Amino acid sequence: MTEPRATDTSGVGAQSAGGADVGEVARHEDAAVLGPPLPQAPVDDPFRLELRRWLAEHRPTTPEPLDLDERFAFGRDWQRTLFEGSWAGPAWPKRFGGRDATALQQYIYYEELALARAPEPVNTPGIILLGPTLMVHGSEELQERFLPGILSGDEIWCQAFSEPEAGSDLASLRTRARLEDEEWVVDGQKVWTTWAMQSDWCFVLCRTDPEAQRHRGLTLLIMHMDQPGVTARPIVQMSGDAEFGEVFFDSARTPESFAVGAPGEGWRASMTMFGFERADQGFTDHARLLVRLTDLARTLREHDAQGRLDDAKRAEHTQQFADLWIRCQQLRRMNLRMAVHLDRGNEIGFAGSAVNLFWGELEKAVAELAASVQGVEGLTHGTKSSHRLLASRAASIYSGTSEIQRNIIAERVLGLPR
Amino acid sequence: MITLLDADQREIRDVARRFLGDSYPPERVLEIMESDAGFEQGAWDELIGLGWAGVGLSEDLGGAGYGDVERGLLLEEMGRVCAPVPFLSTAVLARDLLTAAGGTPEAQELLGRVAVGEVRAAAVVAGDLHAGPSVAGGVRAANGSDGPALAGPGGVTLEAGSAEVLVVVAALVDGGVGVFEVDPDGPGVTRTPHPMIDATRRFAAVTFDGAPARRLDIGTDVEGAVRRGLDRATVGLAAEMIGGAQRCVDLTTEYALQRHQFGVPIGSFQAIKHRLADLLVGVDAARELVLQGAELATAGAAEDTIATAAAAAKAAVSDVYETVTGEAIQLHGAIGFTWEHAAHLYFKRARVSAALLGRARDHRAILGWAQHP
Repeated sequence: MTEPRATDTSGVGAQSAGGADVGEVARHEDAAVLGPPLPQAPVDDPFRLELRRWLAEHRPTTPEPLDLDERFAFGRDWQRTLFEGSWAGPAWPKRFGGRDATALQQYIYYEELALARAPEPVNTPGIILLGPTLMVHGSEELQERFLPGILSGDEIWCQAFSEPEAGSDLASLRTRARLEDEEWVVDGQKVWTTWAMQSDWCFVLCRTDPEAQRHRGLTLLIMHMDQPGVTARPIVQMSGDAEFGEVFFDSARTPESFAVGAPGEGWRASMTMFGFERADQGFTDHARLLVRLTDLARTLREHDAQGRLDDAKRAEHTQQFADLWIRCQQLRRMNLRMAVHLDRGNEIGFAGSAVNLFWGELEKAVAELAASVQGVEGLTHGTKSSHRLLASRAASIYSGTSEIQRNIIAERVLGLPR
Repeated sequence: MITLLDADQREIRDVARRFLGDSYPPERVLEIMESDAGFEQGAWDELIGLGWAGVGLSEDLGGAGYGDVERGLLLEEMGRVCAPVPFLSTAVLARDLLTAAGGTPEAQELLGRVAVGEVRAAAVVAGDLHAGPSVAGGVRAANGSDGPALAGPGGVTLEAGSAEVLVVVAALVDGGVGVFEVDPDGPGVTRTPHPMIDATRRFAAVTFDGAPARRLDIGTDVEGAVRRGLDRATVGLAAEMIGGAQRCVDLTTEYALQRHQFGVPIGSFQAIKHRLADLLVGVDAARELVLQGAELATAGAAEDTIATAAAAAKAAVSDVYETVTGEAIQLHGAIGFTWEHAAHLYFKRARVSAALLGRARDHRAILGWAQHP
């Protein structure tokens, strides 16, 4: 009476279309970590298999260092390795060094990086934000000059948008630029600029028409960081790192042709950039979190075997773990859904805001549980779990605070009055 | 929000929504709720006439074709209006048990009749609210001179009162379990109405005392099969629940737009916006797991994959539905607390449904770190 069942394709040992034994490539015990097989992003997808094979050979063999400078150097080396394998920016067009990857393939790319416990490329502001924006709005000259260095990591980039008085309300920004002798002269201050101290170049959103209000009269400029008029000062985060900083522009200069898009059209270029950011948001995250939960499960089983868990703790951690695992599965589906729609060319509306909001809260919750399970170690200075506990607080703040995301969802999706 | 449903599926959903919206406006739901029968025969016949009882069952088993996703969409729409119809009991719980565990020609024949709505079945399984750890609950089968006979308490059972046939899981003398067909109007069966706070569904405590029964399974891994049927039904229930949850978000949003205080719609206050945004995202995320569970069931995924998916879906949806319904009342202010307003229907539906087929906490218990790869 039972209905005939199709074969479950997640099994190790099945043959892939290319003839290679999936089992040989998929010897990640972690592969089961992701959750149930999703037909839209199958385990034996050729893109996934190729990347997995490559990662098996090339992924870092030492863990990512905790110290910021070491972590940055590690990430930069890793990006070069990715670049040499043509894996630094798969979403980029082939003619710029990418693989013309679809959104679904990007989704798969980030899953595989996470399963391989490999970090993302260090130059993400360039790879995800400026590079694709240059491809849409930048001149051929700018594309030729800057795209190769972004992908290789030879030139490090930072995004200088937020200001002390212009965070959530970015359009109120005041950094100004004026044209003088075929150069833009920039004065002002930016803040929360990730990798400001390590960067060679930045892309700065400036007000070029002092008469214009808010999002009008803005220009997106490319500027060299290494010049007398640009000073980057680190800002220490609660995690002890200075991953970001403030950038002071004091008659800093850049050629006139280094405007991305037309002068005065900076908001338009920025909207394109935000679109790339929205489309990338969260793709990277469900798999990383699921890998962390796998590690957490392993830790809990060890603790249990060591007799460190009483019945109450066992039950409590079971509920907490399951809740987070469920939320990760939800994030996985939300990401997959976005990828499928992007590839169909459909409007994703404000799905990105929902993902951002959902992920931000989940990232913090996973870090909290992991730290609490680790006991004293989770609160000890310098451990990975304590570091993550502290660093994760930014997840619900950067790239749009949870409050802003809720406003967007309420106003744009539910139609509540602004 | 965006969805992975295809155009045909969206069409099924839209047609169902229109039909149910016409059949079950809130005032009518309240009326039917207060009636003795608890459902309207005419409306039920119409629903059967649309072929809904067979959706998700293959045609060669007597069904209407389509899969669990499509059945889930119908369920979602029924949940959206809190439809007082015994659909979950017969076309989901009883039907899924029969499909998974039935093996005899009689079982096949019964399944065919249930699938076309010719007979209403209710499942007696896993004790009160079908949520207990043992699939047989307190029911035992003994071999009498005229065949098997059942004894013991079946527990508070979904729609046992309006059922025309009972599908019962009982413990066997020699160990293991069997699945049986019992005539609820026959000897040895007592059905005592058990009114719950959710009166859009009816429950009855069922007790057996030498009730003649006909064997429906053929004795191979029956317990496993029953659990598979329960998992599938759990996804169906989760689908029904998420429809109600979404309706609450929609109702509350409408209210926030139209209710003015202090010269503005109350929806312009950020606290209201933020709470509604959280509810919407929670419902949307939970629905994804409902869809995932249904997709996996249709694709014939491995047993434990479906079991995990069903548990995740039920846990996520239960919490969300309970939260949303509480918030819906609160954000409506005093009228949300009245009998006349629909909010309480969903509040009650959410809580009873959360207990049906296992509470969130129990489903999470099987998704813990101990079972993780």
